[in-house]
Amino acid sequence: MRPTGKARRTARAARAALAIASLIALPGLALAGHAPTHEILAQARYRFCHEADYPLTVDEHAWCPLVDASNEDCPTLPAACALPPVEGRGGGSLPFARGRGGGRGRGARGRGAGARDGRTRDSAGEDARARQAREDARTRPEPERETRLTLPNLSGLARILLVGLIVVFVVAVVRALVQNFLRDRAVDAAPDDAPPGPAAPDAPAARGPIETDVERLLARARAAAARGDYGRAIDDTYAALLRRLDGDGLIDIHPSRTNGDYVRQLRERPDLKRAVRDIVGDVERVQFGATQPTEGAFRAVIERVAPLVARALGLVLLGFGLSASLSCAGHEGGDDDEAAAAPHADTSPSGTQAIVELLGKRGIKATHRSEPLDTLERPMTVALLAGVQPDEATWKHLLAWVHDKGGNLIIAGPEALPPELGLRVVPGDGKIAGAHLDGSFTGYGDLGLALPAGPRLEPTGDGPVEDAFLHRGAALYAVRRASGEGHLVIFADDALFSNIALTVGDNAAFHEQLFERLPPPREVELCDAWTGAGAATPFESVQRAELTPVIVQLFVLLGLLYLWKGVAFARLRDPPAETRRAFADHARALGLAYARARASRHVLGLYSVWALERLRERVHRSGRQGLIPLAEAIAARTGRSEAEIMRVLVDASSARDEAAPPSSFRPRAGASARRSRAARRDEAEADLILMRELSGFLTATGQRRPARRSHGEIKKE
Amino acid sequence: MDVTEFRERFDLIRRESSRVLLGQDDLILHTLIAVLAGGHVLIEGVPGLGKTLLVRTLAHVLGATFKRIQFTPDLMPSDVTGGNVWNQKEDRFVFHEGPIFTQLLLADEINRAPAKTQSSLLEAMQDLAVSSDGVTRPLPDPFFVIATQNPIESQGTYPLPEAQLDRFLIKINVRHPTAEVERQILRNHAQGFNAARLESVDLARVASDADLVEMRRTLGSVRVDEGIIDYIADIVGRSRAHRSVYLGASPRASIGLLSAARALAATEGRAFVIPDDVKALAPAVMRHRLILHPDAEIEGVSADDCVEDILREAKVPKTAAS
Repeated sequence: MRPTGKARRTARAARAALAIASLIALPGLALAGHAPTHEILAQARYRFCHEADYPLTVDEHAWCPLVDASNEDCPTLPAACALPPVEGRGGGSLPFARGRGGGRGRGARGRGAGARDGRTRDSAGEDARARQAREDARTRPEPERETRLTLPNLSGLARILLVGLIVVFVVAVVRALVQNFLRDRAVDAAPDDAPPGPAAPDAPAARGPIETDVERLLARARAAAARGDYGRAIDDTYAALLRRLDGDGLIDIHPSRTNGDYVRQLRERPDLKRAVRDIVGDVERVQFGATQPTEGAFRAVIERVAPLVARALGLVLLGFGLSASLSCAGHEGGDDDEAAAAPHADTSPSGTQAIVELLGKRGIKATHRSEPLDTLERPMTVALLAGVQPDEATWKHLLAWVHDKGGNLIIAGPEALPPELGLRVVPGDGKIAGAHLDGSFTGYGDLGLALPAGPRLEPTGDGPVEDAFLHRGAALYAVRRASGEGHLVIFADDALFSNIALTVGDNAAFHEQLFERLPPPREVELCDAWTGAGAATPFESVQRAELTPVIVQLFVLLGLLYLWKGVAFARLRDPPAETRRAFADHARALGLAYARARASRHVLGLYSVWALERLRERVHRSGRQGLIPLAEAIAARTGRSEAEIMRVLVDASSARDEAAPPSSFRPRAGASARRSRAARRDEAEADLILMRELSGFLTATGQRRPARRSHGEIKKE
Repeated sequence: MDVTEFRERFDLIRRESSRVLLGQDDLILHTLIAVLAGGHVLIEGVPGLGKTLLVRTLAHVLGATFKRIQFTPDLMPSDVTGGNVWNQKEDRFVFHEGPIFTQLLLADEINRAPAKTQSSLLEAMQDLAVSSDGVTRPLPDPFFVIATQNPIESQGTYPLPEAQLDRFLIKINVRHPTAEVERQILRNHAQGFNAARLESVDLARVASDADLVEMRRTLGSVRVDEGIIDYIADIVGRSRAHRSVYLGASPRASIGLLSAARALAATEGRAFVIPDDVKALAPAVMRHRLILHPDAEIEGVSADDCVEDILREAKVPKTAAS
């Protein structure tokens, strides 16, 4: 039921009286305190409530007339208010924490006027203590800001990992530096260690590690030229060229490759091939021809080698130059005003973190929205704070979302409202502070709101606003209305939605009731300048951060570095020479495989089969079968006792009988799987001794293998 | 004559030879190098690749006397060297020179004659002389033998003994020409080219035997660095220690490789030998001098594979990696 005109007039008069009363009683309201707010602001991170010299911005300072000399929730705020406001950034603990005042942003400038108004109004009422405090602040030196390393607010494990990574990184860098330093010292010290004395010019140089670093080779070449050793200088210069080409992946240096091989490898680069071929001709004329290495010859070589060697380096330097210029260009167009205008959810007086925590204590999940507003779909409560100025399409989407999807939209920041709302924000008279609920909203109880002076709402049409929610003096401050399935709450500004607002009056209680009375779900998203700033893809994120030129330059530099250094970023080394294993190595490896398999008995059996056959071929020519004639024959050949030889042959024969493929291998009689390691070792040693005995027989009874014929012998034939 | 003149003359000879023998540049180059280095050439290839044509062309271009011996199983040594014949009129033995008394001898299909006949060339190839009945008769200067053999038909052939093989400075494997070269050969024949009548192609005689002798003398001035000596010795030494080689290259191979490298350097107008010269000629000089182990032959390892292995292991002097 709508109130009648008389009732409306009566209500207006009551509200005006209440406003006046609230102005008088405002300081007293702060004394009451609010338990959850008190608990929240007691945290040390809300520094403005714990540091008496916390610098307040102009916007934040506008709240000071509403703050009583003693504030339970924020004990040091009155002292901070006694100090003059500062321009620019606030004293937030986070790096991006800044106030909305200071005249740096568009929104900040708009609100700054109101703040100045408020201060003008209250400057007359400053007491002597405040003036004294201000004078003290003016005369005392600026406190030196403490520089602290603040790690991100991470959980325990993540924090440990982060610290660990930092420590590992620092240790690795220090280690690399130390190693590099020591290596350089060793290289520098090497020539000094050499015994002094005249070097024999024709004596071959002692072969040391091959130098593969291009710059060092060139330096060595210049040093040799300075000494007058032009032959060495030309060799080193040419080696530098080859190492550069090798590093660029154009050739593969190998000790067996000739200069012609390297030139042929450059067939893909005809221009380079021609240049290198000419250089090679000059170098070989000195190395293998009769041309004496002179300074002129050295100059002729190094003047052609240097451009080829330094080409990659030049490209890298060019890349760095481009990188620097593009980076500067990327930052020249930056809009500092826009960047500074973005308020953030922080713990500074202008922040909204306390509101988030306050709602959290009431079971309402409050977060800061990063996704764009035009992606809103499911119902929830969305609060548009300063820094958000939707365009026409977004407004339509938002209003449709409220109407159709049942969303609750709180509009507290945008200065331009859509025409569908029938309202506009106009600047206030700069005098009236405080606020009171419209008489039609009786369920909120007797709340004494505290607000600095600021803008007001005004209907765009001629008709009165029938859904007024809050008034600032006689001016309309907020409107609440149903829209389809959702609700709209429109404020003239977002002064109430700040940390410092919770310290005065019943603002904290108002927030609790406001959000609790909105239809579910109990989920609130606060939108500020960061809303919609999140990118959909990493590429978009890089682009928005204006990092595209830097990233592109990094990739270009990486490409150049790859072209310059190739795959190998470390010092280039010669590839290990291919080695082929000798037959003895294969035999040794096979023996080790048998040893690991503990198959010494099996090996003995196989060897016995072969050895007994060879022995019979060599010594057993009587036609008699069996081991006895064989032992007799071996004894006759070797001169050893028959009994000893017979023992060996019998053991070998029994081992031969045991020899079988591994699938049917049986352990020797009486052997137990639980034999001790020592027993197994003893058996293996016994088997080896037996094989050596057989080998000895074979050596003693065998004939010398025909020696390889010499070339001369073959010719004689 | 300096190396520049040497190169000009050599280019002239090679260019003229290439007019007749298409697509066989390596064959011509290696043959000429062997001729200039004072060596003999063994050419192995299937019939019809122009081996005989090459020899006839070179004889014409170099202005050398040329004779050809077709080796057959019943060929006798005296058929090669000649022999004493009783002259009734003069009442004494008169020596009748065999076909070996020429400047350029083509020993065609040399492996078809038995070893004793093949051996009749030994003294001629090494000492450039022929001894018969106690009399040694020198051969014309220059003298060089170009022998051919067919690798396919092994029935009724007699493999050359190592001593005979060692006397050839270079062995060249002739391969089939490419399709484009073969098309050009057909075009030439369609236009009337006749390999049997070289005079019809107006082939110029661009050198004389005196020029050849002079060119050979020039090679003596080509410088050989100590590093090159080491490189050649290393290569040849490795051939004797290669796992697949039963008999490595002889010191004659080292000398031949050095001579051939000098010739190659001079053909490129250089007065000094570089490792590339040695490396380029090592296969041709060494491949017929290596006797492989039977097991290596069974595994399909060839002498060229061994030489390739050796060159991959031998360290080139004065390079960045050495």
